[in-house]
Amino acid sequence: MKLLALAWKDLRRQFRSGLLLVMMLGAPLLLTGLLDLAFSSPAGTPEIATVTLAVADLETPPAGAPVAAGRTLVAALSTPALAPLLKVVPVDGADAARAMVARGGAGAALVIPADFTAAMLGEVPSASAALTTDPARPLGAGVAQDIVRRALDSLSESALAARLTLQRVDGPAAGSLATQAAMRVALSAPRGATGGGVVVEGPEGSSPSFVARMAAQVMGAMMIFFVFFTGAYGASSLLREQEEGTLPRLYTTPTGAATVLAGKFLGTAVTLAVQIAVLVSASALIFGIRWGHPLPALLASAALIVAASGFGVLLLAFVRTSRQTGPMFGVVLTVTGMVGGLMTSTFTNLPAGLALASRFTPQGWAMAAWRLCLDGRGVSAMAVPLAVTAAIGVACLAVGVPLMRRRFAQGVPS
Amino acid sequence: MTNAIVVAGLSKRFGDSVAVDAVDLEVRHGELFSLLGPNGAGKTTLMSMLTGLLRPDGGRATIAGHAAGSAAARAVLGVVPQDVALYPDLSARENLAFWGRMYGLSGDGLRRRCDELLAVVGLEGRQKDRVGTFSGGMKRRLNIAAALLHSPDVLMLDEPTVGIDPQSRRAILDYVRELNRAGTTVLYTTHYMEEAQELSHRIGILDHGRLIALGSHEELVRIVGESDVIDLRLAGDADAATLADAFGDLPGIHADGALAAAGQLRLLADDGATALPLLFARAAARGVPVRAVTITQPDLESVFLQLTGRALRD
Repeated sequence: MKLLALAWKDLRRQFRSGLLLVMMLGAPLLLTGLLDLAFSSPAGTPEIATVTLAVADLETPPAGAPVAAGRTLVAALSTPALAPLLKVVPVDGADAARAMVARGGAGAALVIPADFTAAMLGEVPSASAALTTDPARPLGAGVAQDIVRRALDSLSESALAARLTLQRVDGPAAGSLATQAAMRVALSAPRGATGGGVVVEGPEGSSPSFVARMAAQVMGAMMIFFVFFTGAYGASSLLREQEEGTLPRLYTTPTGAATVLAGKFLGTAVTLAVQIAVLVSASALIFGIRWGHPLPALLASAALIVAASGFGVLLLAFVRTSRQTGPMFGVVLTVTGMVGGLMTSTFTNLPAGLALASRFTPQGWAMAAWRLCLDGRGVSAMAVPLAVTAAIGVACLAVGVPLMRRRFAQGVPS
Repeated sequence: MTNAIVVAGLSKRFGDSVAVDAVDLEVRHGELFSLLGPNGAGKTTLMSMLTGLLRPDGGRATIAGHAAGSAAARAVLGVVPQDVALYPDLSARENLAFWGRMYGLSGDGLRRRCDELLAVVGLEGRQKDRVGTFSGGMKRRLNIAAALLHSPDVLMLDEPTVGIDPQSRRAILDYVRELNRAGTTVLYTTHYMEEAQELSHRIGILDHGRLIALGSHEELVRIVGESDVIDLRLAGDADAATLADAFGDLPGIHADGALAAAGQLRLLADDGATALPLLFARAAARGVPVRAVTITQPDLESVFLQLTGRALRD
């Protein structure tokens, strides 16, 4: 009862602070809204400048191959449906393609390897089509990468389906004329690439556009960024209460120190849960963001709450007065948020070092979990980032809570 | 019957500084007891040990028979802290409801008690307003109400009238007296002599962490004896301390305990009327004109002066 009263009091105080509401809810929605506005036409459809894709087709199909898969891929990328988004420019050689990107003449370069068709036919284990993008144009790079990836996926799926079907019909020795004929059909008309643009089927048959997916990633990143701020602010309420005299007064009532501290933690956790729920709901309504399946989203929220609360408690150990909390929390959470990739969530060409560095921050792991959730992945796919996010939170609490107890319950009987 | 508050040899040090030095004290049930002392005397430290906020270095204390700081002691104790300790962004009623829950109240009982106390402290009309919008006096009144929700047997008030207007101060003093008449034991700390004098059955005078005197107002005044207190206001920047020395050999005048400040001198005399001509003559001989003189009966200030050689407000 007392625990709930303590938590409810904190929740009420937090949500009565205009400044805090702006930080908790207004800022993430506003930032996402600005991005949405910047890339959407008044009608709500994406307006992105056409991206030039330099394509170096190096393939040499095996003798007697039913079709050249590289040519099929280039044809798929050159369909009229994709013309508003992508302009394919054939070039001679990989170096020329990459040089075009380096000069700024193209937003991305695609190099189709020599054994591309052989890989599609299953004659070699694998082949890599290399895509180089211009880091200075992340939006264009993202568009090109997205289209190429989906066209390749579609092509691979078609080839694989044809191979499996024929194996069932003809047995393992599927090298017959019938096989080759079937492969020709499959590779000549890959799904998705010829079906009226790059429309990807989502988890529930939805078809979010590239801008919508980008908005979702920005929203997810901003949510994590500001949730960590709220977690730290919630923890620092202990410091404020100590300075305001309400914490010592609480200890003069028949309420134990453990109950007071647990009530504080519960209040912060509930505040974070409300913040996440409001942001997820509001962004779904306003921007049409699909947050994935309910259970993964719930687990990602829980892990985020534990991490943000725990990190806040740990940070509290390093400040002496509430006046120090603003600068201290601002610097630490902004830096860890940036390193965690929250400011670059839509960038696709980040250096490997940055990606690695993000693994050393709770925000980076939280973002990894939410990214998978936004992609509609299930709990099993998210298990590692979920577990690591929550584990970081628990570790922070394990270090921070004893410090907090020693500092805020000194001399007070439990 | 046990005493409401028993303090035995209670001590507290902060580094090299002794904040409370082996204080012994008993407050009877139904008594209104004031702890009087200048700022830094150790009143708040003593109070913090009684409420369980500080662990004593030595000695022990009980509240209504329970060890100070225990849950049982805290359940029968109401504490009004020196500074207003309320949530400024919650309304008056929300604050009371919250503190009531911390004392284990709930439901209709809590609602009724909030209504009663809001009426008692005259804040029914502002009950839905946030405390942050209240005047200092209103906050002080609500601060007291928050300590009374559970109808405590013992109420401790730590300088509850500091920094408020005379009207609110009067309201608080009247209310404390009323509570005591209704049976609540009150421990009241103050550095205002008049408050201690007006309110208390007994007064303890605390200085440098030590209880230097204890008794009723009349008993304490008797420490000074049958003396009169003479206050002299001197002209300009006259050296009051030098003049006090010059009074040293005058009969019936206790110049050794005189209190000298800029242009002012306070001293005790066996008989004021007899002493005055002597004082005027000596002052004139020293070339120090006396602008005004007051003769009063001894009060707690005089007692403190007698015991410490310092003014209560030093």
